[in-house]
Amino acid sequence: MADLEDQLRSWREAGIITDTQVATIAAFEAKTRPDHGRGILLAEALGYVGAAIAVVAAAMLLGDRWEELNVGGRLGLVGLLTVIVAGAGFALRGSESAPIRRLVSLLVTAGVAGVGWTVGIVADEVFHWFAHDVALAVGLVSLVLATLLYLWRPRALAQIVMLASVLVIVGAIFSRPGLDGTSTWLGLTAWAVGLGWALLGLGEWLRPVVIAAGFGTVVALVSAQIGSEGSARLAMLGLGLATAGVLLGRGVARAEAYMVTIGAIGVLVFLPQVVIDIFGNAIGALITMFVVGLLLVVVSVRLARGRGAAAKDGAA
Amino acid sequence: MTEASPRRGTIGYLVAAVALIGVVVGLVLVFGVVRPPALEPLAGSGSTPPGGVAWTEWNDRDGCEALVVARADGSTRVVACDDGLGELVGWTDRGIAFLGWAKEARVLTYRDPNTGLIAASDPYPGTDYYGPFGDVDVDSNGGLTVRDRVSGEVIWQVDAAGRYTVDQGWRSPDGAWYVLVDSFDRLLVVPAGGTRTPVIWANVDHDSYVQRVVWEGTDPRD
Repeated sequence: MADLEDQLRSWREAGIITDTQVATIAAFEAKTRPDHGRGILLAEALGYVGAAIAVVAAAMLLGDRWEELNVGGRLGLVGLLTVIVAGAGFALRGSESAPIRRLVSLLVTAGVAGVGWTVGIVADEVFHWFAHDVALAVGLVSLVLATLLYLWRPRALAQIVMLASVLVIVGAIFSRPGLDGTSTWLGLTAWAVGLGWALLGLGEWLRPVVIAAGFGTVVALVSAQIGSEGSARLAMLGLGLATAGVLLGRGVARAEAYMVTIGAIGVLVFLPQVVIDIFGNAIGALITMFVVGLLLVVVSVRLARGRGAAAKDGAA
Repeated sequence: MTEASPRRGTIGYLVAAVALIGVVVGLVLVFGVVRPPALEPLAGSGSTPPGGVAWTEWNDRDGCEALVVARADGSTRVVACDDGLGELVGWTDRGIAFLGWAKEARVLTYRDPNTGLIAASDPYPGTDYYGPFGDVDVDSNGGLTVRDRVSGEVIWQVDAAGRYTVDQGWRSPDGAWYVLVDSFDRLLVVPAGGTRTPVIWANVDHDSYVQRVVWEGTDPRD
């Protein structure tokens, strides 16, 4: 069976069916799904539970034994884990069942992380590179592998690993002598990466769109906060506030609940800091938060009405 | 359909993302990169410090604390690597001195500067060592000015980028030279007087914080 979720998304994006129809079809298919579908879901769930148990057991085992292992032992252990998870993922790659494909995505992505870990051990314990060079090597290798994985199967996990790898690379670059202690520049660069990532998502160059836009905007806001130190504090807080405001505005205008949520949290975080930095008193911040809270209630009402109208349009 | 292939996206968003990242990277390259002053190495500079210096740094490769010795001719060598060298406090005729504990008493241990082996040990009369963690003050307003902490005499003045700085410095026992550690993990050496430019004596480990550099001829009992 072809992936129903992908087909529905494709039809909805092509304007053939509405959101309401997507939901109706999905609900109908869920009810009439044959028994073997449940079996696949059970296999997927067992896969996740098994992986979780293995990871916890390995972590507990390694927590005590890791220091006692030499480089060969560490490489062997991590390499074995990597081969097992990645191999399991590739073994299942032919399945067209959505749950199994999700499992494949998880396993192969875990394999990418395993390769990154292996590279880190080699760079650190075999070549004895500086910490920032180790991080750079891990980030570059992970980025290349995650990108290849994403090109093979454009799924959320591969995309998230790509973004994380880029951030590791940025962090490693800013840890080098000459860029030390530059939290403002680090924050600004990571802000640009996050926002750029979100833009690539919104432009549908990265999929799933919500993952790219959601994770990218969160990275941008957190980075603006990280960069808000020293003489550039107010500028970075202002940047964070402006970013949050734009996200909130876009979310309201397009009835995108996740964007409204991220933007609203951003406004709540940045606005009091900006007010305190400018006016230097706590009462101002409290009043600001009160006003922002009221505004968010208005936004919520607007969003709810917008959804109600859209639902009516869909029904009509 | 076996897999959703990535569709061609909207050009405007791509251009916006690339432009945003490009502008920020440009800003970082122009304003965010600190370039240290270009300095000559000690070897071949004509400068001859009055003796060697020693310091300790963490050796990540072997998981031990390394004792590093730099000689006046510009050569640098790790002479010992141990789990607990103690607190580096001096360098006398008996060796490089470390303050540690032995049977609940303070003791000075002297290590040979060539072999790193323990050459002698003495009881330490006090309880703690209060020697200086540095002999210089650094002013970063409008360029970098390094002064002697006691006399206020200017040691080095340079028009350096904002975040370039000297972390710490130590005066030689004869008072005629200073060794400095800068923010690029370079060990610099410069004569007193403020008229000469420092030269690079050695590099210190980027991941280690060098607490103290001792000159040859520094007695911890002084």
